[in-house]
Amino acid sequence: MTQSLEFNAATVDEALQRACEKLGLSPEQVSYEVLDPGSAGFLGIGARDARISVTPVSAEENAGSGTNEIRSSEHYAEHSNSGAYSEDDTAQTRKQAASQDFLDEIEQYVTQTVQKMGIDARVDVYDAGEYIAVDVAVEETGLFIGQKGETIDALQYLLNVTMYKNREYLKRIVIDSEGYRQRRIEAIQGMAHRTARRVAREQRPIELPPMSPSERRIVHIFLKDNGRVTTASKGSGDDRRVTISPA
Amino acid sequence: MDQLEDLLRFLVQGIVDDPDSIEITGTENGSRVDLELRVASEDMGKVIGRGGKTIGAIRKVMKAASVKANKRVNVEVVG
Repeated sequence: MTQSLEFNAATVDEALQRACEKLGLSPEQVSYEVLDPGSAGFLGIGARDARISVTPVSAEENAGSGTNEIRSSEHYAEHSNSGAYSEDDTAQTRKQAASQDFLDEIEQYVTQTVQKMGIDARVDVYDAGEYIAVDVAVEETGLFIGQKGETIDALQYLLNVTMYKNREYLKRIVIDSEGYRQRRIEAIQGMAHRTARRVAREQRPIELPPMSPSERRIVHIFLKDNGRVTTASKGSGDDRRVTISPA
Repeated sequence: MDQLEDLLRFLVQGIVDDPDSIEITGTENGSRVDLELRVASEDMGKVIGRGGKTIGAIRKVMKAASVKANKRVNVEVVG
């Protein structure tokens, strides 16, 4: 019934991105299996493309148990270098601009949701190139963001699912309020930095608290060039966390 | 309670293929609000999501709205 297709690119993330663009699906709508993680080689010698096998999934098929062999597309969110830390953000990965109609539809959805939540807000939507930015100015920022961002992240997830239900996947839609995302990035980087220092000093692995895919990604990217430690994500679902180990 | 029902309906409408089949029954007991959600059987998976991710997100948004209304809301999907 569902068939899988093979894609390859320099990295797993790029292969997945290519697959999503080709299939017109969001990373949330596919499962993939890494056939070959690829290799950067040494000084370009022995470099090998990453190969993945991608299967479009509908929500129903995935609702029940999460199989482990087929890795969910969260890996994509976690390890892809989008945003401020992008290294290979070349013209080739530049994303198509969102139409005004699409931006208006996003604004309408967020405005209505926030209003129905009983929160007064001003919603501003614009295409930020890599992603679509939704800025929500509210009186009760704390309520809108929630503990560790659980409300703003939940709304962002529903917004992405809803907007791409009947539309070809374009780019991620990110909701922010009062500079929350940047503050959270800095807080996580601070924690990653302090923990890495301790790991190197005590020469033992330390686990960070459970974090969302995008938050774990911040840790992986932040510590990528730190030669004294390595990072890996372990656990499943809401309990998935980064372990920092001595290199 | 009407406001919470309205929000739930709005969120679910965006996710399912058959919005006309959405049924919500609410019971209120003091500050506690229980909402029972029914959708077309083909839409069950979409509402629940991979590993319960979608219903989890719906519950979190509902929770924030109920805190604002000084209520405690509980959302159940009924098959």
